[in-house]
Amino acid sequence: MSPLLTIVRKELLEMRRTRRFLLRFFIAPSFILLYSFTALGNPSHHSHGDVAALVGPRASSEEIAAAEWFSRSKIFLLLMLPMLFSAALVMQTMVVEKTAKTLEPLLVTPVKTHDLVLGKILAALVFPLLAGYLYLAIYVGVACLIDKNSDMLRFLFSPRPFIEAFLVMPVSAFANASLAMIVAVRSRDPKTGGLLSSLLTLPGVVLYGTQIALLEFLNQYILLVCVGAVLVLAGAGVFFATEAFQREKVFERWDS
Amino acid sequence: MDHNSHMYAIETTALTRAFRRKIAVEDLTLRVPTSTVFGFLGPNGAGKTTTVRMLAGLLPPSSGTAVVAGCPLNGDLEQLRRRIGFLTESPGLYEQLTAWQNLLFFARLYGLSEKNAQSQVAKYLKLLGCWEDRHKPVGALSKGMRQKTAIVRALAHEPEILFLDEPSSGLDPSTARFFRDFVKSLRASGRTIFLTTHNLAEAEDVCDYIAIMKTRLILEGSQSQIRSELSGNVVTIRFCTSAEPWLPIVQQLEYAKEATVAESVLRANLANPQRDTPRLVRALVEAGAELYAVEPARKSLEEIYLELLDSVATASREQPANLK
Repeated sequence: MSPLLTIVRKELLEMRRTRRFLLRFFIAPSFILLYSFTALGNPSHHSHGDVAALVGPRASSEEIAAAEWFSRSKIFLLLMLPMLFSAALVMQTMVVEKTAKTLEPLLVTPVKTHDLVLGKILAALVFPLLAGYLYLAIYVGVACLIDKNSDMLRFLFSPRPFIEAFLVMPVSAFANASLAMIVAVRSRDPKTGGLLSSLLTLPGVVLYGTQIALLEFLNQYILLVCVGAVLVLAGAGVFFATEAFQREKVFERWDS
Repeated sequence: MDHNSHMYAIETTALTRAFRRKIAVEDLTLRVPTSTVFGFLGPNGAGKTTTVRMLAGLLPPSSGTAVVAGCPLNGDLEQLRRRIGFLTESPGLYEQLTAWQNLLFFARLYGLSEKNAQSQVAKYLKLLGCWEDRHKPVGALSKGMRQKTAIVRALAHEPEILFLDEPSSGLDPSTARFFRDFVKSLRASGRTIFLTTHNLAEAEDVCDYIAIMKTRLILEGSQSQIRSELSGNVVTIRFCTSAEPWLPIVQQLEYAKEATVAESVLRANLANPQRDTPRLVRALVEAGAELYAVEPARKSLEEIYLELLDSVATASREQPANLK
């Protein structure tokens, strides 16, 4: 087994054993799921003209419709949660290493630093994304039963939600986890680290929030460009976290 | 591989490490022979942990060089890490995971195949008597069992050199005894053990070689050599009866510089013990004394350690005064 997979497997094993900690990742989305059901079968609160005014004059008719359904479905609030939770999990895994004093035995092994960093980040994505996809699937299933042949259903099976679910959600979670890793590596105090890493999620939360509130809406082409940019940011995050996690830097910080 | 690389598991030359303005280790030159237990002693803050971290490739030296298990510190550190085992003072295990899960995780990181990892971990768990508890979470194990599990982690990849940092700290006497015996058995199997400890009785029991440091190296050598050299020229003579009547005789001998008596034991400080001990014995026997035993008086490692550190502290106190 490669060192990367070994790290991911260990982290997942450890997370599974801290069930109370994991439970939060499944409780919070369930409230969003219940809230989103209220939109099913109800007519729109906004007229086409209202949405067009909010989204912008140059938006096409399809974009305006997408913006409205995106806002109405509410389930897309879920997209933010993996981003928030993966950062919290990264912090948690580093806190465990520091409190259990396992960092020194871990760093004395021949494992490469980038495997260690990437393994922890990838492991931190698994449960939050799993919870996100589980609840999205439940929502789509219920929508199929209640809202048969509705515009909402047509929207749910259009490209936009797929981009949101399979690109925006994992990429933003990955970027945030990698940025949280930089904070986690450098932080001596887990509480301060947790606070700082939650601040990192703010730009993402604002971007999601403004779209759901229809204050702004990115068309799918701009969205793909944004995904690319966030992916670059995630790569930079992994690079800088790896740099900060080099053995000599870790021990220099400890000993000096 | 040259001759020296067979002889010495670790060789350092003028190894130095500074943190900003503070020098933690200065000009450390050491040679650790292979298949020996090397005791690395010193007070808190002496630079022992920094030295071990440098030797394990975790911290680069500020200057100086070292070769550990044939790998230079400025070379392939990944290779070096594969050849060493490291037991930190705290066991450093994941408490939520079982001993078995912990050990397999580390064995895989050392590059062992799944099958090999399982067999190696099983072998050492059985050897150390932890097999029955392998599926318990580490958090539920006693301190002794955790420490044994940590030893298995350090050994599973069969390292050439084992670094042990305070291995018996906080353990009950019987487990500490078990560890000492285990360290001896590891030496017998050809491994080199670099033992950092504050427990001088433990060092005296298991170490072949000793180094005492306080930022700089104060003393290094084989334990027998150190103890005979630093014990002075005192000979202990044990009589069958009281030693008191024989004291004036010894005091008359020109080569006996000093003599003291305590019950049946007489201690004499000789000018040259190798030459003078037979002469002293002959003089006493001719005077009618009945001797039970004659042996060179040897200081304990603890006495030597404390005297050395005391002299270093005195010297460092006097140095600024001399400068004035």
